[in-house]
Amino acid sequence: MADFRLPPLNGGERVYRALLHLYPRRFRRAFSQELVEAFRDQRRAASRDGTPAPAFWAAILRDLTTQACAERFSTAWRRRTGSDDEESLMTAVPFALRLQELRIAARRLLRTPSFTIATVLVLAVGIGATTAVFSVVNGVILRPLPYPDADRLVALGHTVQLSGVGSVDQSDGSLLFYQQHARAFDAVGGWRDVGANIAATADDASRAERIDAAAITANLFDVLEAPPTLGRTFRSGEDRINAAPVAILSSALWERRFHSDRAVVGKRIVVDGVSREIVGVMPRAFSYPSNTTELWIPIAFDPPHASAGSFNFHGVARLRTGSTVDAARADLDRVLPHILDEFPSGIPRAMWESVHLRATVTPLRDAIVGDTSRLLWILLGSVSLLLVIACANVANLFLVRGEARGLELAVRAALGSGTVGIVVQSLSEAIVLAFAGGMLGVLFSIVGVRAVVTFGGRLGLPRLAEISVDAYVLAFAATASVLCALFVSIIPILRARRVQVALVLREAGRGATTGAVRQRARAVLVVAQVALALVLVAASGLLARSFERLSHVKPGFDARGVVMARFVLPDATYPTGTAKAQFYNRLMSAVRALPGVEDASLTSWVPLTNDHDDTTIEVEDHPLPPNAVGRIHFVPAVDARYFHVMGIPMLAGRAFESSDPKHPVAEVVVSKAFADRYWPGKSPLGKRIRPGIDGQWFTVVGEVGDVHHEALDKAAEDAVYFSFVSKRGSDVYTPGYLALVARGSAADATTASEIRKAVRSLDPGLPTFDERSLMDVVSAASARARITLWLLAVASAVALLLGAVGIYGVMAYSVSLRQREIGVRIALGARPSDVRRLVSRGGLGLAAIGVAIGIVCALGVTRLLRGLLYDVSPTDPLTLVATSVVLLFVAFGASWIPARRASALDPVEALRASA
Amino acid sequence: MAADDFLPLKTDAFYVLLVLLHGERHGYAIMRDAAERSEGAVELQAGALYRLLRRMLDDGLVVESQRRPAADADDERRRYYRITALGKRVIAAEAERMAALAESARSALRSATA
Repeated sequence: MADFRLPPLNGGERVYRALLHLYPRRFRRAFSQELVEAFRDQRRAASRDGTPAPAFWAAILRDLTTQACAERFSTAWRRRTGSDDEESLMTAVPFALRLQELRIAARRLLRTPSFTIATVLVLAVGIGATTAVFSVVNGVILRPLPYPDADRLVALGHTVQLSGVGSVDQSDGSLLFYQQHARAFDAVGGWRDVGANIAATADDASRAERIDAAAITANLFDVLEAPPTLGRTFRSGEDRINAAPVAILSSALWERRFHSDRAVVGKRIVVDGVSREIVGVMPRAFSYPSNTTELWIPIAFDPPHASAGSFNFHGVARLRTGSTVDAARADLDRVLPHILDEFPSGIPRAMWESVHLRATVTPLRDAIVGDTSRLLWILLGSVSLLLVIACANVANLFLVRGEARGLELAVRAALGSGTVGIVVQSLSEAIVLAFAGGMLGVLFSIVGVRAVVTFGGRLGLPRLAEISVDAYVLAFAATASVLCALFVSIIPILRARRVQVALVLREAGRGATTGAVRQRARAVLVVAQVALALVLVAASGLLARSFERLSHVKPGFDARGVVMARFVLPDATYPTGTAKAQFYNRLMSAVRALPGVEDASLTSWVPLTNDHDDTTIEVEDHPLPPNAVGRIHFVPAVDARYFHVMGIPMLAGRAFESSDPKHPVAEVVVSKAFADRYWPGKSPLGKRIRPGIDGQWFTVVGEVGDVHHEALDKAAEDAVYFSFVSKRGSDVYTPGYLALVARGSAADATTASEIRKAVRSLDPGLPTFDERSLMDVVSAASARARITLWLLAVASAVALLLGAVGIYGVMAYSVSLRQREIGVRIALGARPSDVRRLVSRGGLGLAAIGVAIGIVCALGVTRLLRGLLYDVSPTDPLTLVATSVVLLFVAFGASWIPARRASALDPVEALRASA
Repeated sequence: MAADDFLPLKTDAFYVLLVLLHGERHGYAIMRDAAERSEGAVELQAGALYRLLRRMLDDGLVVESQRRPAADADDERRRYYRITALGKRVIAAEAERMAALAESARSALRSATA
């Protein structure tokens, strides 16, 4: 009779019932009905509370997988520890496992070279990849910074409540103020990245060059407790505006420019037109603030004129012994409200207070490592999966080997060698193999680490110089090898107790269905491999789709045929805005006249580079409430021809009229996003805006298309383009830091060298640098996504290959076991296609189970990728389906060969052989 | 086994026994009441609960009840669980253990601040 009170079985419940098979049989029999009831109740509660279905299922699946694993483990554990001979096994094995055993195992392995080589290689690839990635994680994330008591070093910053920006660094005012008043620190220092022109020397005029330098507080080296190799570091007072000019060299610059001359201290170097005395040289390993910094000069603080409000410096400090990050933050917040008493901010006090400036204190290591840690952990996770797959594969090979030696083991058991002997034999072989695999793996990883150090710069990896294979890395590789050995030999060990001597001997004689139990263990391994491979392939599939989306993002400008070059006009040579503007205008005419250059222009911000230029903007017809600050917008300073050179479409109006310093214009061009924000549906032309909080109004004269300034995966930002010659009160303002962009008809390299010559001909002491084609700039913008994709793609290709080998092995072996049965079938009239279907259905069945489990795992795991994906959901159904199809296809391919072999069996031969 | 052999109790186990002190419950009701009594601190999922019950059944802390409460008679397939005398002794011992801990911490704090 039908039970009408039962709610109809719906899809979700059916899935849940099927998944209950993950539990061990005994547990399932006892509780499956109960679990289904609870599932129904929970589901009703979820729909009542409005819990979204994905969240509900995530909780259910997490519970199911973790509990099923735990229950299976404890069942197995109880079964094995329940009997007392296991106790004696656990104590007997370590005694029996002597060096002698290992030597015998090695000799035994040498007798089967192909097995040994295959196993060692598979393990070496797995251990090598994992170790290489671990050494990067170790060097970048785990290892403390290379300074004494590095855990007391912190980065100081501020949070603000300001539209368009959430955090700011330090101003000269705030640094001086904290140095004076903060009590939680031994010392507070600061720095700022600056580029520096190193002048040509008297004897070699061609050696003017541009290098990365840092302007630092005099105490920065003391904060870090980093001593120089030669000379001294800066003395207090040297970071004041009228102090004698000094500089400290990096060891790279010292070798390059001074040929490692030990008498360099006291000599002079011309930096941005200023002659500075060299007081010291830093050691090669010192790389702060970055590993490209080659020169340190003191900041020229001018305390009476310092401003609290221009946040151009990074703060770094050493906590007083016993102080904590939280105490330090409280300390800074205690003194911060009084800063305006000492340093003006240039804006009214009420407005200053409205942005709610608060101090932040971050461990320096976190500040340096930043968001790369996530990427690295994901990579480590992927290669660990790969290692597990590799181990599963080797475990499979091990089972086959055990199979082949079943008779030998049974005889040994019958002669009284007992379980211990069998376990020791298995374990010692696994140890020898894992040891060899580990050694080779470490060699692989050393090569891999070299590659990372060479190419890691493109990934934006910090602390590259600190990546190496050290004791921790070796310990990691050793641990990985030991785990591999245990994993590989665990199944033979667990099975060892079950060897039923009589049965094996009988079966060995008849060769019928030997090792059905082992065959099941191998099937489980294959399912696990497929599931893990699916996770990896799905992850790289998601990254591939994300990358594909990213490569279709239009940057907003036409990079083809455009080259860029940078140069910086030092204030010493070009003291006024007018002087700079005159130089730029002369340069523009010279470059535009070059053969092969169609047009050229200038900009303070080449899109998709690290340039940055923003300020608060007040819009005339959107009046701000009293003391409020306008929204922050990007404000590139450009030459009028910029839009034409870059191929940025002019949507309305025109560009600026003139770049003549005698008649500076008060005109701006705005991006479409900016126009849409403030005047949706209307023309922005004729409206007025002004930067900062007072000063002159600028009229909008043109509207241009949007450009991705910061990154391709961020939305195209609002921008206000100012002319590079603009009016500031009665003065003319022109930035000294502009990049030249030129659209050429010749090859990019030719155009670049022509530009270099044109700059030199106007000012021989002016080095150009960062000469690149804009195509390179655009491709560098997606380099990180591309490299991550490649790494995961390689990992998943290897995983697929290993999975295919696993399926092939199991199917081929099952065919050899079932020869007799298949022979009978053929003799009874089964067609070759029937036999093929029989075998490949077996392989596909295993793969299908693996795919089902893999999808569940992938749904949980791919969420970790969220920050790396652009415009693709981590649970993108298309990717998951495509991945499943690929895996099933590979599984089909892998079982095809054994299937064909089975269908070609000669029934007479098969029956005779196994008779 | 003596009641002390089970100490200290895991929080989950403690709340399951606590809920059962108030009367027989079926699985889902245990999950719900445990969440309620712990103010959300103990959120057992079905699998975790039944593994816990399986262990407690093996250890003899709870038994399956033969009786069906009349109020819930609409569903005879549900199984109800009841706390055993041993279970009661265990939770009592655990409560005493925690009380002793709390008292020693309190007195230590008193003397530290005094």
